[in-house]
Amino acid sequence: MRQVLIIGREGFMRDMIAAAAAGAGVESVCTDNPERFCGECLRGRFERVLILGCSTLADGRISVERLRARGSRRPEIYVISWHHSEHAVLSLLECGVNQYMTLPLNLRRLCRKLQQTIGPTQP
Amino acid sequence: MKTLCTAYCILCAITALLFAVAALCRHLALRAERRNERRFARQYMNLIAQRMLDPDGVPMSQFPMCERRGARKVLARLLTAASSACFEEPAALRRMAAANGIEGWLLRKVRLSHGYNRARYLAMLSTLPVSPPTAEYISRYGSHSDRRTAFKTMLVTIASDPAETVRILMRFPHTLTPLEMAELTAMLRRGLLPIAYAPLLGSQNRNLRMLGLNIVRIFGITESEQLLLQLLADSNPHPEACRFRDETVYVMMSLHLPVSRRQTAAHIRSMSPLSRRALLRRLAAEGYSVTALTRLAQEDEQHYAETLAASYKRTLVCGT
Repeated sequence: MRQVLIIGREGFMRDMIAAAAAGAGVESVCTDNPERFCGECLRGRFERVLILGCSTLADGRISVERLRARGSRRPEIYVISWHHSEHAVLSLLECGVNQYMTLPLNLRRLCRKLQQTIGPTQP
Repeated sequence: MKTLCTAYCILCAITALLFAVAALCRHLALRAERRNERRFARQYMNLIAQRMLDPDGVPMSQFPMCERRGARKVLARLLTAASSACFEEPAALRRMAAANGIEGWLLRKVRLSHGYNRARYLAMLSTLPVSPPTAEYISRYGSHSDRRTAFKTMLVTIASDPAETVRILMRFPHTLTPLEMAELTAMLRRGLLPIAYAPLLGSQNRNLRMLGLNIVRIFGITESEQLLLQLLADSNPHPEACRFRDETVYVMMSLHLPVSRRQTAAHIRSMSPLSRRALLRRLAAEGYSVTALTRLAQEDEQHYAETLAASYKRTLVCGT
């Protein structure tokens, strides 16, 4: 079963996305603790990480670089937030985020994304 | 005398004991209520997610235990939060709300409450897709003396008929505060409002002009630069017009547009020293160069502008 890690401070969004993912056959783990988030990623159990919200002035480049466990693939990072500006989105992509989704969220589209398998990396 | 004192002490002790027992009972009741609410929330969250993912596959029957105390409160809260955060077919949410009597429950709460609580329930109604009869019933609160109630009523009216947003906003008698404008633009993010910003920016109504500026800022519409420069070229000395021009400059900074244009520089030079310093701080925070800051600063503000730009350390990371 594919596994997804959901991190966010807002309990409602975490629970809603976890419930939708469960309905789509995707196992998920929720947390609001950044330390636990890094620890879980380093264990290498997750294919995707969903981060709910982003801090505009915090550079996430270092955190993203640390998320890969030795000998494993770095999980895909999706960020879901209310920011609509091109500048914020480009900054996130430059930090290493794989995809950015704006709120309000389309649950069906998100579940389709979560159901997709990650293929082998291209040389 | 001794007997009187003893009787008084006994009376105080009994009163204190009664208050303690009442507080304990209230605490236990609240704990039970919260436990029930958590149980309802867990169950209803799964059902809402399932029905939003597949609205046609699952029959829209009433949720289990909906008649229990506190169940509709939890369900209303979850449905309004789902409506705010998720962009799905409104028909699914409308059918869930109708099947569980949420609209009627909220209308009863609006009728029986006052002040902040009434505004809170109206805010919940504004996030749900309400039926036209409900919107017509709610419109009686539009001219309420409480500003919060009048504003939330306006939101309900807009949610029920988004095509009439401009007309409804023009009828609103108060100037919208920044927080109220943020609530209005939250509706815009859910796709409820039109986003044609050009007619709004050219309107004589202050609320409509501010809504236009917010649309430009939120969606990062850099193509509006010429229109924003035309707004800055207006030389109306009225304080309201000056505040609007200040807000226009801040929107341009949010979009990282050049601030050295003639119209922008002229307006910044005409600001008060206090306002200009606040603007320079914002320019530095948005990442404008020291050259841009020193060009806009006056003679006695040059050193301030240089130290301000130098105080924002930027990390340059080169790709390896």
